[in-house]
Amino acid sequence: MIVTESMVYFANKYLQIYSITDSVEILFFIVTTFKISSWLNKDHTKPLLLYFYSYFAILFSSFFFQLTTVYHVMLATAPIYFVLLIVHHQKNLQKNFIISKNRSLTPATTVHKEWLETLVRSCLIASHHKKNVTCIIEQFDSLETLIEKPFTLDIPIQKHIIDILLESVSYNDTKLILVDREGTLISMNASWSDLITNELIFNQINENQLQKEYAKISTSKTDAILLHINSEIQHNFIAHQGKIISNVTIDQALKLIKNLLYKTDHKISSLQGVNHDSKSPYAFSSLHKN
Amino acid sequence: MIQSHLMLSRHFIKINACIVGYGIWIIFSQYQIISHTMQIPLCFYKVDDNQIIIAPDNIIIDISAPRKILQKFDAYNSAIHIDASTLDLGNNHVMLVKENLFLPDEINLINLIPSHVQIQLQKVE
Repeated sequence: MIVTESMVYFANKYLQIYSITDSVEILFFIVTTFKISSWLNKDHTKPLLLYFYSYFAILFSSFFFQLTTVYHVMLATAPIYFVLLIVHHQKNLQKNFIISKNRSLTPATTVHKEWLETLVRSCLIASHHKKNVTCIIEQFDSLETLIEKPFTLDIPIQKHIIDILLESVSYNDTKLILVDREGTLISMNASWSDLITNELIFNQINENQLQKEYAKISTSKTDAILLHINSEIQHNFIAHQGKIISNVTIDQALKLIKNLLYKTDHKISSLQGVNHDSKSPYAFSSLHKN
Repeated sequence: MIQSHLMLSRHFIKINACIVGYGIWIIFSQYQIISHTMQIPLCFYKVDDNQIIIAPDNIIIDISAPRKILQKFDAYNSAIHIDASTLDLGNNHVMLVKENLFLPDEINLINLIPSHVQIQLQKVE
């Protein structure tokens, strides 16, 4: 009897529990907290339980020490913290991953940073085997209407793959290799569409000059870069913005293409306000003059 | 290693759940108006040494207030205070009111059982 009275006294005086309903309410909160804590504890990748306790430690401290602003901010932003905890929970992430499996997942592609060197090296090897290679690098303007692709490869440029493809008997050296600026091989044995070929239909053009004319037309319409590596070195050329640079060495060609690709990146970053340097040394016309 | 093990232990989570659960309840119930029934003694002041008072020992009171206020009010040390100098010799019929309790303004008195008491004042020879 005395024990019960003492307990009631303690509950009333120190815990502010005055009735059974108070006890039921507290029990509800304890059970809910325990369930949430146990669920958060199941995530072994992040210390979510620690974040959970930290939040309540701050909340209770601000309440106890009467830090009114902190207390109200913590209370008002509580839904944000709890949504973050739910979203970042490992189990949920796994669930989201399973859901996303229903959508088409694209595997991570590792694009070689030196894809241009790899491509040019393989083209050189092909040219030694008396094969001409014409690569067109698609940038931001789509070449969809200018080039007809017999098939789409869509694979990152890798030395062995390019070598195999160029050594293949199916490879037609009068056709084009289509590459994008990220270093993805989009297609091989591509040909100029009627939109390009029709422009030269009434012109009498030498067979050797035909590639250059197509290159001029296509590059004048888009921001694409065309590289032609011939088995005879004097016929190598690069085309961009409707201009042709002939008789370039491979080193020069590489440098020039890199500069052109960099120039585009530079332009974008300038537009985004990252770099405001107007004296760009990478203009195609200035390189062309040199 | 020991720390992380402790953090993950079920007992630790249970203890913390009790603290956090209780803390949440306290925070959200602070301004909740509750009523509390308790037994308090009947006390007399200004009693002459040659007087004897015969009256009930305890009165049951029912008070209501926000939990925060009620916690600050020391209900267990409160009492019904009656001025003995206003009593007549013999039987007195006294109606108990809020003022006899010296209750703060924030606390409301809902009920007193009994609300009237019979007090007998006697002189000692």
